[in-house]
Amino acid sequence: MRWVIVQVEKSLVVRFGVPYFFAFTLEQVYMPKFDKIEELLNELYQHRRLLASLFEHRTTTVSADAVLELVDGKAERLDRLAAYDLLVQNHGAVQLESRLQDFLAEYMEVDETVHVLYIQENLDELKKLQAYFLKEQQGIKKERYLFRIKKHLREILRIAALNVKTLRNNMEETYKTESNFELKREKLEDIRSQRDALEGVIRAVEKMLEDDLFFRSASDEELLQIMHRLRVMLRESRHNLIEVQHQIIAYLNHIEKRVAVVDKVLRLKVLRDKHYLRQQTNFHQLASANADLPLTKAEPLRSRLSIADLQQDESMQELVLKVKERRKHRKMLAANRVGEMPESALSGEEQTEQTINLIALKNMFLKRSGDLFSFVMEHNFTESINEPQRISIFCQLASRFSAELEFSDEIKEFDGLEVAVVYGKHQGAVCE
Amino acid sequence: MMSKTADVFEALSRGGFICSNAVTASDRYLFQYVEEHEEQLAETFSEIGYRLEAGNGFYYFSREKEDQQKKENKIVRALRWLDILAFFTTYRKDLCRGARLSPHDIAGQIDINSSLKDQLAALQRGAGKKNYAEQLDALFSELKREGFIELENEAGQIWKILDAWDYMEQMVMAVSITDDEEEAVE
Repeated sequence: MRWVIVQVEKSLVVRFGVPYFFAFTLEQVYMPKFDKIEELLNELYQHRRLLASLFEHRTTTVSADAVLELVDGKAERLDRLAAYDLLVQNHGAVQLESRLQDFLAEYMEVDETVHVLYIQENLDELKKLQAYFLKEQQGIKKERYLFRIKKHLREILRIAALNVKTLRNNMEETYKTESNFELKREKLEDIRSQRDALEGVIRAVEKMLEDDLFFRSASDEELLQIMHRLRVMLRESRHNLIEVQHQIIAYLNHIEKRVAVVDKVLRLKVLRDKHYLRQQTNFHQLASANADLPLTKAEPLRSRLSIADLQQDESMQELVLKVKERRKHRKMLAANRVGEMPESALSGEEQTEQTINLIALKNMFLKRSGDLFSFVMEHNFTESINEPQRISIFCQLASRFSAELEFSDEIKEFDGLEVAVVYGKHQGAVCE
Repeated sequence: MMSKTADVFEALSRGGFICSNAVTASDRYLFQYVEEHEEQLAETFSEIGYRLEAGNGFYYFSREKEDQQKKENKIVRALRWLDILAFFTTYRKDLCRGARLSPHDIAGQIDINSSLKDQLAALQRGAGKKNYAEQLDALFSELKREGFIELENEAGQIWKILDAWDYMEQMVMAVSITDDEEEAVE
C-alpha cells in the first residue's frame, strides 16, 4: 500500500490509492473516525438506502426532513453520519460528502467530469518508478516497483477508457440539451480543449510504452499482457477521440451557421422595421425574381370531365343524375324567388307619402274644419294618388292618430263603402 | 413499384414542400420516392413547365412566369416570412429544422419578453384574435398551411419544424446588404 501526500489549501490530505474517502485532514483528527475498514463498510451498508437516495439526487438540494424516513425517523443518525464525514448538513439540507459522491460516481461510471490530470499523475508516477526500478539492485525491491508500475498501468487503462466515454457523453448531451446558444458554444469549445488534452496524455502514454527502455525490455509475463491491453485500448481511445473531434467540429460549424442565420434574420428585421429594407438590400429584387411555387400563391388546377367517361362509366352516370337532381332543386329555388320588383316600388311614392307625410297631413287636417275622409279624398298631393290609395291613407291616419281625432256616429257612403265621419279634436288642433 | 408522380405533383404544384422529416411515414416515403426518381421526375415535370427543385432535405417546384401583380404578392409573402422568422428567432435562437416547439412554451415567454409580444401582435394584426393563445394558434396554423411545420403530438401540442424551414432561412441568407449602409445601420 502506498501513501500519496498532497498539499491542499492549508491542510494536508493524506490519501490512499483509490478509495478517496479514507483521507483525513489534520483538522479532522479530533473528529470521530473509523478505526477499521469493516466499521466504515458497515456504516455504509447500514445506511445504504439513504446514501443511494442521496446519490440519485446529487444534482438537487435534498432537505433533511425528506430523507428522515430512510433513517427510521432518527435525525441523530444524520448527525452521526455527518460527524463521520459521510454526508454534509447545511441549513437543513443534506448531501453526500464530496469524496463519497465522487467515489460512487466513478464506480458507477456516471462521472460527468473528464479527469485528464489523473492520467497525467499516473504517467508521472510511472516515469519515476521505472527509473527507480532500473537503478535498484535488490530483487525484492525491484519486485515491489514492478508491482506498483503494473498498478498504475491498470489505472490508466481504466481511467482513459472511461474518460473517452464521458467526454463523448458530455458532448452529445451539451449539444442536445443546452438551449442557451452562447453557453452551448462555450461548453463545446471547452469539451474540445478537454479532448485535445486527453489526446495529448494518451499520446504521451503511447510514446512511453513505445520508447522507454523499461517497457521495451520488459519480460514479465503479466506486465507484457497489461501493456498489450493498454496499447489496444489507447489506440481505440485515440480513434474515438478523432471521431469526437469531427463531431465537435460539425456541431460547432452548425452553431456558427445558426449564429449567422440568427444574425441575418434579426438584422434584416431591423432594416425592415426602419423601412430600409428596399433601399439597402436586394430583398425585394430577390423576392420578385423568385420563381418558386411556395412563394407564389398557388393556383388551383381546373380540368374538364371526359365525355367518353360520362357516357360509359356507370358511376359517372350516377353522378350526372345526382347533379341533375340538384339542378332541379335549383330550379325550384328559382321559382321560389320573388319576381321582378314593380316599378312603383322603385319610385317609392307610397312609402314616402305614408311614412314621411302622414304626420304633416294630420297636422294640416287638424288646422282645418271638415271631416278627415273628405280631406284625404280632396287633398292635393304632390304625386298623383288614386282612390284606393287615398282610402288606405285615410285608414292609416284614422288608426294612427285616433287619440287626436273625434269619431262621430255619422256614417258617410262613398263608392259603395261605409265610411266613418271623423273630425279633428279642437283642443288638439289648438295645441298644434 | 407504383408510380407516385401524381402524388408528387399534387403536393408540389400547390406550392407545397415534400420533406424528409415529415411527421407521417407516408409523407416521408414520398420524399424517399422523389429522391430515388429525382432525374426522371424532373424531366417529366419540366415537360409541363415545372422545375423540380431540391433543397436540403426537401423538394419544391419553381416555374418561370412574369407577372407584375404576382411580383408584388411575392414580396409581401417574403416579407411576412422574414417577420415570422424574426419572431421565432427572438423566441429561441437555436430553432431550426428538426426542432420541436409548442405554442404553450412561447406563450410563457411572451409575458417576460416584450419584443416577442410586439412582434406577435404585429404578425396577427387585423386577424381579430385577442389573446396570445389564439394569436399563436393562428400563426401555427398558417405555418402548417405553408408546409413549414407539422403537428407531431396533438395531446401535448408539440409541433415539429420540417426541413422546409430551411427554405425560409436560405431565402434570408441570400439577401445581400449594401456595405456602405451596413456601417450606417450598426
